[in-house]
Amino acid sequence: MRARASWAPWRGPRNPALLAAPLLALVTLTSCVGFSGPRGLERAFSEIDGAKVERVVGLSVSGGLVDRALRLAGNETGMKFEAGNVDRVQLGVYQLVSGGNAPLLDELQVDGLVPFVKVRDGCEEVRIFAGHSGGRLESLAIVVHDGADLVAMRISGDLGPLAAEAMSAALRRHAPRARHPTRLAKR
Amino acid sequence: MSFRSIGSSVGTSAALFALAFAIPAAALAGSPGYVDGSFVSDYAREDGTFVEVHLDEQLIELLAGPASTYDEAAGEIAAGLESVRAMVVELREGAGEEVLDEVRGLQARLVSDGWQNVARVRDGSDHVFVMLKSEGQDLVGVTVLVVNESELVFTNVAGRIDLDQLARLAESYEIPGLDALPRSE
Repeated sequence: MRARASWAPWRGPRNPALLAAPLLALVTLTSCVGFSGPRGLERAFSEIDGAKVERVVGLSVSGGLVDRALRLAGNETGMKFEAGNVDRVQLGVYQLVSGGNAPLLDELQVDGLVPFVKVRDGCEEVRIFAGHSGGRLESLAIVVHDGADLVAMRISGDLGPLAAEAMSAALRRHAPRARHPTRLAKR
Repeated sequence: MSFRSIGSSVGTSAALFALAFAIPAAALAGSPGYVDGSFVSDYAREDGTFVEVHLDEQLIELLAGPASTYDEAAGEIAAGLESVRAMVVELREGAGEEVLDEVRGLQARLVSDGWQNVARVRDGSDHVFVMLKSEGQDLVGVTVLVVNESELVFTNVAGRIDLDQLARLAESYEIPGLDALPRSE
């Protein structure tokens, strides 16, 4: 006796929401997430003498997604971030193909951005850049180099309120732990 | 690079940045209260810690507005400032005396340029120098140097400065060097 085939054409889920949800998620994510590196920084890396870097990971996230993440972070930390201020966050991870362990970021110049924080600890380096236009802080970029890898992040949008809140919180959190020679002198 | 070391470096820089943006900064060599601190990097240990925060005038203006919504005093102070530069460096081996000589030389140059020595503290190997520059009734420059065997801190604030407010802010935020500022009360 021949068994009856149980196969039948799939007519989709009985509940249309089951199909709509992943489709909506796919459309949303593809419009919110890209895989390019931080704008302007890659070109700057390529112009560093004697060093060659290759991108390992690139991620670009739209402001909407960032806002949701910030709100979540705000709920967790008690900090309030103004939604809609961040347009895009770009992240890049790069491998140093050549160039050794020497300080790399001293000569790093990025179009439209001004370095205002420089940190070096041995072969580890951190730079923070700011970009402004029309009286607004429009861009912040952070570059970290450990002698072998580079990590770069660029945040774009109207960043004044975000920077103020973040730095105010960071200051209160980190400053009491900072080493303080003058405290010795006051004893 | 460990996340802890990155965190530590970023933490320090964040503290200095926050200072810089609580007390804005700029590189205006023409400002009477501006002091060039570039000599500091000459004494940095090659594999040691080096932290520098240096905001330009535009950045000060950009940050002063939002900062005032979180800290009124910071906003008021920021409004009058033209420049802030803060540097913390780990000194190369045996450079302590050399740096001290350099700092004394700088002090002499600043005094001949109209600056006043308002405080000098020595405690063991720690030396603290506080210098102020006035124009008429206005205080237009503050420079604080802290030197010990292993570390040098240089802070220069230029612009219209309310010393009490600056000292209070420095105390609240524990800003490197500026806790040595005198207060009128």
